[in-house]
Amino acid sequence: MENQKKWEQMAAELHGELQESSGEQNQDEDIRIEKALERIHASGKDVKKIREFQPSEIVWDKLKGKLGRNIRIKEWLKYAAVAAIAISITILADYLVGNNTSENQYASVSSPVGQITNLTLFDGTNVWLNAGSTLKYKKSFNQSDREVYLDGEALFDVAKDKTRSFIVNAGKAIIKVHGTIFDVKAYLNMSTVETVLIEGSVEFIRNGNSVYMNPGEHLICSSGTGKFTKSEINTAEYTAWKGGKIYYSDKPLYDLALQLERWYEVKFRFDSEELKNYRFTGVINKDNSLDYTLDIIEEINKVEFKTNQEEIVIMASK
Amino acid sequence: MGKSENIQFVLNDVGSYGKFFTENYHTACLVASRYLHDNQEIEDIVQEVFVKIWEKRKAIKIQSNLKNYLFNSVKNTCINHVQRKKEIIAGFDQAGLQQWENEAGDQFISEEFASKINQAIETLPPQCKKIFLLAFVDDLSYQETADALGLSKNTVKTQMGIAYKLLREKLRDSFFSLVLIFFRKA
Repeated sequence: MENQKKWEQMAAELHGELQESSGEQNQDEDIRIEKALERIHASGKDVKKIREFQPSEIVWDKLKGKLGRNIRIKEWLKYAAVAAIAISITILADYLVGNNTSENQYASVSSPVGQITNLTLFDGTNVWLNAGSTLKYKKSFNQSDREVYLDGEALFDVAKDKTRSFIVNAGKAIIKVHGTIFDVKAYLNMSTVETVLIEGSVEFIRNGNSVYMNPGEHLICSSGTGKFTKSEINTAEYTAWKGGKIYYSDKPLYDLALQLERWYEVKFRFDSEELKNYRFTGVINKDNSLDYTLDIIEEINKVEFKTNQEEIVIMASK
Repeated sequence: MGKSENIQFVLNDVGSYGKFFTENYHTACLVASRYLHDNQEIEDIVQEVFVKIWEKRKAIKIQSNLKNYLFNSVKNTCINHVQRKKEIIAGFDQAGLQQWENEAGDQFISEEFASKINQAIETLPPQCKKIFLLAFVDDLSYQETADALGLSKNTVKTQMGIAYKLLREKLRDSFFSLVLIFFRKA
């Protein structure tokens, strides 16, 4: 701290506090200190201005939700997009239904926190089990029926079987699957269970009452009373309202590119004409970043995206 | 510092982008304040630019480094904003605005420097920081600062010397680029 005094003296001078000269003369060092002081001092107004703004950490805490939103859902969409005929079921059930069961007749698979487990059931159905979720099924699964009990969140790619439906028990609701694409939302903190059927057929059962749904139908079931309300909707409209999710089932890539152009204000160019007719099945969510969406498409389709200044070129991947 | 940002890395995950955000948010606000008065408006615009860069990170081609891209985006957004609102700010008429732009070039070194000082202030010892904020940011005299904090004027004087010296040490790297800009202007 041998030159501490100098800093003190010169800072005081700069701040208009009259000081006697320190006496010692060390030209080089004095100039160096003086310059440093002046430069910091000259930024006083800017620093004052900066301090009028909110602390950046606080702003970031609020903002990052906008960027990181749906990270978990994104993970799921990735898998949803993988399956040619994917059934997406999102269930947060309060309790696993498993009455009249003697525990040892059931097999159960749990996904530890922070890990997604992929398993194939005996009938060929593929299940992705989200972190912290448990799937239970009878040891006799696939012998007479195909029934599972879910506590948590899972995604099923159900193997087709005309003779036996696939049944998901989720809390108080039962969802019977007959080979379809559909979406279920049953959040614990919501007073309803909602289903939208995109394709195929679904049977929704609650308290012994059952409802069949046709494609394009939207069903709301009150968790309290068990009352159903069914209405016909335009699924595209419905999904737009839901926050920009669009389901594609065996649609040309060209349609998808058009949609993405509208959403993300970008331009696509197809490297060859035939690429336009590549078929695409999957779910696209507007809340996801373009980057993320393109990654998904790259992963499941035989295409690659090359970005240059004006456009994104779609090419066939090797 | 010095090195240009590794864009791929920064734009890879939200955490890295968060670091980039906290490091550059205030600089971006300061850049915007050259064009706009209203702090709320400034912060809204800057946040919007940050979100846009994130969303379009695959589609945009960044010429130089990410920081410059950010500051230029903020600047351009502000200029568009001003022109849309036909608002003349901070004593600039359109010609003045043009001139200011030319002078400033695409360098945002003084804004970055101010932001670095602000970050460095946060690392000062508590008492030292209090004194420095009053005498430096609020521009109080040493006596006023001493009175405000119930200290002797001599303590203020000593602490101010310490504060400046500590800041200089923290800002060592930034001084190098500052020398360059002063040199350029001379």
